[in-house]
Amino acid sequence: MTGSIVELAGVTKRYAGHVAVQDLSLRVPQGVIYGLLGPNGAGKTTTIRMINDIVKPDDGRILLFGSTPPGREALRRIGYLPEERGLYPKMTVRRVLVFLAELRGMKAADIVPRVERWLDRFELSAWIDRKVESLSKGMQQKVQFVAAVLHEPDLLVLDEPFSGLDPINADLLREIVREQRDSGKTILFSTHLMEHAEQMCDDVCIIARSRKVLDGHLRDIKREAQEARNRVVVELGGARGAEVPVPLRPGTDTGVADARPMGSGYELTLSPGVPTAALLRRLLDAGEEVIRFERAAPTLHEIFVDKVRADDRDAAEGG
Amino acid sequence: MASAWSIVARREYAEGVRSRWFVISTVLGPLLMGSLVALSVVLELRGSGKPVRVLLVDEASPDVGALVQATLQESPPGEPSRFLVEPVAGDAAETAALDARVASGEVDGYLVLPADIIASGHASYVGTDASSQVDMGRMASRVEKAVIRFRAQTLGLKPDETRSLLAHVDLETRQANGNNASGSAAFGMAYGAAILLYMTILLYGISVMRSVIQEKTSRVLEVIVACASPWNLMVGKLIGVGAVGLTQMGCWLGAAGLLASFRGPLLARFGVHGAEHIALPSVGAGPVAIVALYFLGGYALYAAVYAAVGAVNNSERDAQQAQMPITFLLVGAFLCFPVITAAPRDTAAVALSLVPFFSPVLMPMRTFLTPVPLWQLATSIALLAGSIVGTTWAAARIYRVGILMYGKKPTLGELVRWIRAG
Repeated sequence: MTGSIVELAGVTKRYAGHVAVQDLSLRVPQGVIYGLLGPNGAGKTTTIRMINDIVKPDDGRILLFGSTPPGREALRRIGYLPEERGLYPKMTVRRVLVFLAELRGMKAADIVPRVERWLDRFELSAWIDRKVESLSKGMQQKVQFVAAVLHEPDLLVLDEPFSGLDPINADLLREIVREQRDSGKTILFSTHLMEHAEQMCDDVCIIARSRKVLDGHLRDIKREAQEARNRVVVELGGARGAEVPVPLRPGTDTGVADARPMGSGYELTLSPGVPTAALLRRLLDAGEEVIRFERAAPTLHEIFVDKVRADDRDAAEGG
Repeated sequence: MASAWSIVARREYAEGVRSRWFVISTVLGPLLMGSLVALSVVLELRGSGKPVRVLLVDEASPDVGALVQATLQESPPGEPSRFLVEPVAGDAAETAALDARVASGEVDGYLVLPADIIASGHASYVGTDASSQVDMGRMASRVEKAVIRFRAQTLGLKPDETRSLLAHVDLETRQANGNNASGSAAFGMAYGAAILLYMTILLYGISVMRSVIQEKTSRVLEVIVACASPWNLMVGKLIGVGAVGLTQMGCWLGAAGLLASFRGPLLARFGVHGAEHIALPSVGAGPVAIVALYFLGGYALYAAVYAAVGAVNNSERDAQQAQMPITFLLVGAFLCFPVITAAPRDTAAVALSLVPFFSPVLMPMRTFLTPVPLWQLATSIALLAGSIVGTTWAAARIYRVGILMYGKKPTLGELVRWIRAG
């Protein structure tokens, strides 16, 4: 397939006691921000380590940039910010960045101007000849991010990039990640925080307990989920008690499957196949004053929880 | 693109020679050595300290006592006598009074000449300086000389005849390995070289281990192993740290050379003149090459193992404990020093200098003491090289798995599995 920057096919990695990643297939197209999501221990870091050739898969195949297996050849085109962050504490910022860029195949002479430019961007210029150990943790994290982008990689792999960053620096990082995407680079980042993914990602892959739960374009996933859940939030005018008003109560005549108060309104789940327009028409026909009528978009978190529950149910029935 | 190991080695070297520890030890090492040598030379040339005050308990006969006293107090013309002897009347059975005088510090000790000394050839000394080998050796030979004189007298020899009988014979020893060293200078150089090797192999082996641990604890390893294979990383580290070691040795040897060539003016500052006329053994390129070669061999052998120890431990404290068995191997070599110096050509010495974990220290030591046949050098180097290949291979396999493990420490069985798994 053309335009595919990372492609995993049936990848499995086992450790002594457990399976870290099981039969994982995914495809990261070029020029997107791709989120690898899942709770802690789902297998995100192992997947990222395999892409970086730190560990080898036991089964399956990984291809980078369309044709290259992970390893020496792909090395120069990948930037990596690991979850376990750290630098040589006794080295100066300049020397440690030059060293890491040299390992990525850059010539020493080309590195220093870029180091200066990037440190300037992160407001770290004054620290260039200071030892790493004299920097705060947040500053060290920014230096490490600089190390990941310095050689202008085509693929940027970021493992939990926002953990430990204050809101201002997190915004800066988001801005830079989007810039990278807009200039044609591909970003693969992992997080266990679904909100981060919702804000940033074009595509996602959710994994849980070593297996893929779902993947695809974030927009498609959300639309499908929305249709599957068929949920609206309604707020009506006039004084209302704790009781759900009659036209909103569950029943075959209303087409409502479930209703519960939410804030000043009500959250309704419609029975499958019932168009939302039918409910709205009925409310207007009944002379209700409709203050708010909204198709509630499920959050990625809800989609994930639903999907995992559904899988568990299938597994229980299948077993 | 420069190969990964060379980039890693360059970093290790650049950071190594920049570190405070390196600068301090490189400067302080020769200063310390220099002042130790200067001190011993000063003491040697000036003659040390006060004479030994000895009480003489003579149970034999006044003649014997007088002869022993005179012999003890002899000294070269113009120099004070080493022993000050005070004859005391009395019985050696009642030593309380004598002990009290020694304990009070009034005298250094008492020498007892038993009644049958001429026949039995046995005397005894009790003193606070009884452990001073130089003085005790001197005292023993003087007492022996006095007894021989007395025996010669009884045989009817005249004092002149006795003197010519006892005239001193000087045996000058010279090492037959072409570096023109006297026996004692060769001994000193052998010891010096062995201690230098023992220390540097230990220091730099442990320094490799600490470097691995620091990469683990600072978590910088994760981003490094994404760019360089563990093998490249380990080899680069070994080469870089080894180069730091060679640099330091070079500095030390250079400083030693400078100290030696300017020893005259330097020692003159301590009030010792004429030191420039002391003959020092010439050290040619051969011995320096042997020391450098065995440093590299020993370092490579031990450092690979230390790197593996660093890789399977998560803190310096854990590693300090885990490295003990390896360090004991080096200490074992250290403990074998007397075996080598006592009889460097004996089977035991030859065998020890071939054993890979000992040879890096013991073989250079032997080469300073005795001409070592070429086949022995070749065998020891071949065995050492073979062991380096074996340990580095095994260490690399442990290293590769170990550096990414942050949890519990692996058991010995797991280590063996890692080595086998490949």
